[in-house]
Amino acid sequence: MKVLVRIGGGSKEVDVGGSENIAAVLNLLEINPETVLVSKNGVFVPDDDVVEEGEELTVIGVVSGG
Amino acid sequence: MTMLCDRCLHQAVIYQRYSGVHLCREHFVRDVERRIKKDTRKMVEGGDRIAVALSGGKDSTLLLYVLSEIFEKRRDIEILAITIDEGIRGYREHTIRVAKNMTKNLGIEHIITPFRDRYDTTLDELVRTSDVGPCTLCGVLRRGALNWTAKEASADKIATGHNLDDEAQTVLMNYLRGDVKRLFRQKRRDDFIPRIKPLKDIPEKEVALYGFIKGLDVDLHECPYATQALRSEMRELINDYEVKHPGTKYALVRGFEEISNIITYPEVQLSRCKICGEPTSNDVCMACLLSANGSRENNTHKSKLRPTSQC
Repeated sequence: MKVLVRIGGGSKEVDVGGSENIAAVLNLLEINPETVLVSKNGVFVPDDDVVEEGEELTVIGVVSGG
Repeated sequence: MTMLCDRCLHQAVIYQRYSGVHLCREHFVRDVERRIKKDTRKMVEGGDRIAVALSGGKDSTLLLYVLSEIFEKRRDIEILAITIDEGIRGYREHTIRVAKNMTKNLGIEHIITPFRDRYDTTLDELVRTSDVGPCTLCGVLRRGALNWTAKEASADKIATGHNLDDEAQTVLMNYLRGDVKRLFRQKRRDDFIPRIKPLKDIPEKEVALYGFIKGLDVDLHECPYATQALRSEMRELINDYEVKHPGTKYALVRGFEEISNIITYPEVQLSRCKICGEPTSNDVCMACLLSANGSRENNTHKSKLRPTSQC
């Protein structure tokens, strides 16, 4: 199953295999869900939200400051 | 399948694993504001003039926004904002612009104190000439400048935007370093204007989500000097634990709060810095030692410096 992932100004189509939800996709991308917000098709979603073929995810890092 | 809010069955925007609850936009916003209000009411008294330390980053921006909402109708409580301009070229200009817009939109008094005015130098200049790390330099000098500016502005309390992640990282860092003195300084700051941390129960991720939902100018840039290895390690470690064991961040902070309520740590006797008059445990405060003001002084105190927990 393929989804489009936008992250850090770029985007790529990712084969997420049988990943069922966003947390699993983040795990595949080696991203800790505590450090990001994810929107699906433009709407913020929880990381246990189910992902389906062809959907578009935007990953926004939330660690900032200094 | 779309996850639904446990309270109203609208589409959820977050799953709070530590509480096992899905929340929609509206209930998430209410939940964050309820927690901030609950904590803030314990920290603030009638007649207080509260200085919000406003860097222009996401945490302090949200803090100013929520405090201005909470106290909008309280005529006995005043809010002002203080921005410390450390002089970090290519980074601070943007956040200062965010801070200016925010205070203008909310109609809140805004004071900007450049390091240059207070210390006759900038962080960029100090980093080039000092053998002390940038986060340590910045932590000491920013704390001094903030305290000084708040006193000049007759503030009763300083509100900072430290969130749950910041607090958990600081507690664990100080435990791992065995730095009991610094650990307890988290709670008590003798002779300084009292500090309050209204966001201390809100995870960093939720601060960002609240900011986006409310349409605040959420600045997610990281300071170019923010490379402090130990804090980054703590962040990674705690976030890994939080995923495996939801509630770890709260447990760390609550555990420390319980210990600090039981234990009385010996008071440190403070005198006044002979250069600037600010409270210090030495003849000259660290801020003066590290800045141009203290360049003529004996620098042996520098050896007492440990990496700051501010960044």
